Amino acid sequence: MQGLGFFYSLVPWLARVSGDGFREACYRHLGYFNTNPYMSPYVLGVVSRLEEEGKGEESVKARNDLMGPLGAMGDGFYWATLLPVTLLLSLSVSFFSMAAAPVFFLLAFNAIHLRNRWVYLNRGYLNAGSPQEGASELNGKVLPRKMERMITPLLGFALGLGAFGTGTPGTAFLFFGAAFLVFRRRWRDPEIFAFLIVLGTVMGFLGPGMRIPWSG
Amino acid sequence: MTAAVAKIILSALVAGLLSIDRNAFGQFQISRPMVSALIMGVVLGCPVEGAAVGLIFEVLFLNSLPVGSFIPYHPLFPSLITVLLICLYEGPLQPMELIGPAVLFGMPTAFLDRAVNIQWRRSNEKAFHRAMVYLRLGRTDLVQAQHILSALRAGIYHGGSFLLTGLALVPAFNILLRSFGSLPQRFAVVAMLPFFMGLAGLASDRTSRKGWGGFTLGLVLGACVGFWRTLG
Repeated sequence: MQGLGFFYSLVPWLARVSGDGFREACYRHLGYFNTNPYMSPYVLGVVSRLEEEGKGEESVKARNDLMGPLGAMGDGFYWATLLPVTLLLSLSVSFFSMAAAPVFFLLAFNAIHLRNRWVYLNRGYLNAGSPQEGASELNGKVLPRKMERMITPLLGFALGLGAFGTGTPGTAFLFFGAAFLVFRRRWRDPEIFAFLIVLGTVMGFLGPGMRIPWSG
Repeated sequence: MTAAVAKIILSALVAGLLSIDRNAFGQFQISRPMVSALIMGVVLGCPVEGAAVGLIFEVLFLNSLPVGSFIPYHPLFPSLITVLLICLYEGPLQPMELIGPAVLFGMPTAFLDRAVNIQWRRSNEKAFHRAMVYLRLGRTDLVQAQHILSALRAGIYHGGSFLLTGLALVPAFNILLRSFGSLPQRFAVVAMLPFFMGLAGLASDRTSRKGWGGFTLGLVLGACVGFWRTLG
């Protein structure tokens, strides 16, 4: 999927800069491509510049060399840091205004990744001579490392708000503690879902009182 | 009956469109349940329940991340199915009372969704081979068209499976709730189980010796604000 997408993005540029070698350039770049989707503009920038300079084979090597490191970098920031942070912030907002939470989430997440995508494209184009060094500069400068530290305080904050929002904080903390122990046992996803469905059915029939915090 | 089927078809269209954002185009995170369940709720006429369901599923799947080549369970499908079940319920119960049982019904569809997602990814491999053939013929326009078609196919795969699931689960949910009478009112607790489960999953993954300090600080602050809100 990403291979086709990468090619789709690159074709207008190749048509402009390749001249008679357009078909060969297309052959070079319709291939396997897999990285973090938010980091791909950097590769696109590098490949565009190298193709413009007539360094077709170098562009293929750069593309293949960058996929892995950028994938790891992007997964670590966008999926494992930015997404949980923006979601937990939005979750905290939801306890005060349910309608504002999705708007806040969309604005926060998209503002950061859209801005970064543009920066990556520019940096890729400018660092085409030494793409690996350019990519390593992204880590720390463009991707803030300290953001990860926000996850656990936000998690605690959302738990505190959510527990009191149910009207029965004792039961809520008990659920959290029991679930924490389950996760500590490193259960797999299907086992966790099955456990949740069975526990949910049992708890539903036992019926301890608990309010949904967003029910007003 | 006809109105319910029309609403299921409409919701399948919405689900199909939202699923395109998930992998195939943009990834603007409109497909996160916090946003998508609210959209589905607005379309079907129950926005408050949609938003609440979205938040519950958002937290449950908070730690299910597409890192590397791993295809995780995604909350889009189960959250939308849950909203559909709530909005198309015909009976004496209030929509908020339905969230618990509907979550129990909707949760297992995450497995179906993952299977459909894997099928769609396989279909992309065929699209890629077709693109190679078109490139040999010198038709770059058709190669680019394959990309658009792959994105649309994501919508068709997910929308189609959503339609079939909705047609099966909506009547089943209505029949089951009628036979249980007023019991679902006690199921409110079930709605919040995934919420605390999701938070615990993330806490288990992210807390270390350093992380516990921040977590405790956040928890105390959150508890204070929560307590103050209950007084208000």
